[in-house]
Amino acid sequence: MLRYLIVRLLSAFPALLLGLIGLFVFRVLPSQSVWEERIDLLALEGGSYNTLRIQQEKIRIRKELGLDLPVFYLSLRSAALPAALPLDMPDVQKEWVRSICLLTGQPERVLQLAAALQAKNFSAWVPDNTKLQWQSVRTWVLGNEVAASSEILSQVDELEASSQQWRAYVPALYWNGSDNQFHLWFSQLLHGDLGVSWKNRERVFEVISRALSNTIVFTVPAIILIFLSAYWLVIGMSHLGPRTKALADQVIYFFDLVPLFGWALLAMILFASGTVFSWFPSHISASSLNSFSFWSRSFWPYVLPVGILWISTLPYITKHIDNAFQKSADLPFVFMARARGLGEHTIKRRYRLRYSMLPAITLFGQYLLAVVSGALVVEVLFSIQGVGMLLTQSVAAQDYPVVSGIILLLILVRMLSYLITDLLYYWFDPRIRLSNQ
Amino acid sequence: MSNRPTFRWWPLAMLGAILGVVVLTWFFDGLKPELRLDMRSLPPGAGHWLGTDTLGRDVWLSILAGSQRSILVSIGAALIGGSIGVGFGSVAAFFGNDRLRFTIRTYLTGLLLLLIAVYFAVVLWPTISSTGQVLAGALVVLLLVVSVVVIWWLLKRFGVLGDRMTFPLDTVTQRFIEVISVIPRLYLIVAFAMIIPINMFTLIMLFAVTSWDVMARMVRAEMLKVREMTYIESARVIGLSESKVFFRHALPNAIGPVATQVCFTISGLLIAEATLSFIGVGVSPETVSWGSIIHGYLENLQAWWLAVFPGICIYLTVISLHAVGNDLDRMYHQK
Repeated sequence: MLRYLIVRLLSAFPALLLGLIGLFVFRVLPSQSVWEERIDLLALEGGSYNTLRIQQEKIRIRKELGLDLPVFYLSLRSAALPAALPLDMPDVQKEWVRSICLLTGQPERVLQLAAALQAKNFSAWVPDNTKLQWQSVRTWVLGNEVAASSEILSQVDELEASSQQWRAYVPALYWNGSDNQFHLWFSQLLHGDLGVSWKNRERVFEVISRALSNTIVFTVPAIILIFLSAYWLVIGMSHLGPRTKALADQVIYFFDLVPLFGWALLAMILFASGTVFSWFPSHISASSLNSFSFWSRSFWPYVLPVGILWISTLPYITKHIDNAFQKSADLPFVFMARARGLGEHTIKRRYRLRYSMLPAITLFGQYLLAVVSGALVVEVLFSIQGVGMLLTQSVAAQDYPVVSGIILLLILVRMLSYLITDLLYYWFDPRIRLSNQ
Repeated sequence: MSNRPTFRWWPLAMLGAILGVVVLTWFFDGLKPELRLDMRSLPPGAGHWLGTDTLGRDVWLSILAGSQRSILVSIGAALIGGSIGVGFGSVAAFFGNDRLRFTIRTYLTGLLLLLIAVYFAVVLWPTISSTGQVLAGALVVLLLVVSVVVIWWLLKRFGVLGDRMTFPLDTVTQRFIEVISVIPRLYLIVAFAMIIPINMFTLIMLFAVTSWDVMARMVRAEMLKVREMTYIESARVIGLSESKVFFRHALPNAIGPVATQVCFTISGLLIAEATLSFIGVGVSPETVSWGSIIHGYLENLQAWWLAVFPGICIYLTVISLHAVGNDLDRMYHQK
């Protein structure tokens, strides 16, 4: 048993590792454009409209979020590019320095030139054209009264003389040491620290667990209800005659094809929005209340969400269990039970139904994830502040730590559900148990 | 004669009509719904038989125009994803873990090509985008690729590194499928909406990448049966090459159920697209799809017509696709 468990856990490890790497790639991929927007927004939150102040605020935020560090232990780039540009350099200048570096292949000298230009006058040194061609560099320096000094002109001359444009095509590998984004991110993760939300500086763990409690409140009852009623439906349908059974199968087939949001909209239009009835509230606002006390006080608002999940999932599960149930009619062990003189009722409950619950175990594993992820659609429609809603809101606000926290949660729960499925199979299916001994 | 399975007429008629609408709206600009701010949120009635949305667009015309995005995205993604799935699934099952053997020099060449790809993406791409020297970059990559091919040819010519090693293709494919199916598609795409703009093209790509696993599993299972058949064995015995056995004999017999699965995938993606648009991912005022019309219902819960009519369209399409899929399945199994 224990060995089986350990083997299962180990086999889940590669997928988990790949998931983590994927998450990190997800973070570093857009570091140039998307996070810049977020940083701009955060910098403006201070309320200052002074360009210099905003610039300093951006540097501070970039440091705080760790975006100023190199991405990984190793970095690979063109040999013409410098390792890092000064943090306090404005973005236009950075772009200029980069293109001059690529033209000359002399990162150190270009940085010296940039420093010299900065020393002249920091704010005035803004090149008007970021995509300068090499020939125009000198004309630009000559035409700019701040830049035009003999000292700088000689540097430009030197740069032009030693230009090695081919270096732009040479790859160079650098070692950054442990002071990089991946190392920090991963070591924080190993300590269980998911970081701080970029939106309101709350701890990600708290944000997610709050949303999770709002989700579980309606998904757990729904899952329990679904499996119980699927069980009873299959038993009930086994009493039907062939005609009514065919009709029931048809109904299940057509119900199964209605997507979740179809049921959700139908329920909203019929029972909540007031178009037909307004028996239930159409918005389940997140209150500061502990959701469990909320639950105990009134379960009325949650009837519709639970009902929607129930009706949208039940046909599928019933169909699968019923299929297995129908197929079990002529299996040897049923034949054997009949031969022993057991009643049809006992055979159904004790033997056939138990056998047909096996595919339900796989389905249960699948829906375990739905317990956590919630039904995005239901949450959006009823404004429930659950995990799905949190995901859409965090995506809209480009709150990377929260989004990655949710995805990590989904990965972990998926792994857990695989494990639970395996264990349940081990428990329910004697064939697996025996083949392992 | 009478019990030979055929297609039922109504699903085909329905799908034909929908495809007709897609083609029609593609060619006639007159069918685009226009903004009429003086006619916002009108219930169904004369002039607007299916009502108008919060921007005054006619729902009937929106449904016609929206069919384009809904149908094209799901069909495009299902075809691309289906091809990926068929490719991976069939090759993985046919060659298994022990039949695909390459020489060490082939592995080496593959590794070098991979390094060139990394070099292009990490080193060259930023250079090109900032200096506009596309030609120089292309020349460098071309030179590198040619030199790798020349190295491979030389190694082959002189018989160096010619030992063969098996490639565990089946295991690799299965791990890949597992990783793909770890996170639910909906959540993955919502998360991706944070770092890339969701438009028709990226949506098709995301759907294709996240939906090939079912197809791959199915084709793999089918191919595992086919590869044990005696006709495959005899094809090998008479000396056909592995690729000929695969393409002429194994693959045509393993992709029978693919047509059915494509129908089901299209219907699943149609629902996924509608769901995404419904929760507002990839929705902009210019694009209209069936899901984005329903998205308007979120802003005005009294406007039931925004949810009901596109919803009926989606449901009818889904039913038709499933009916066609089931007919195909019956025809395949009773032939």
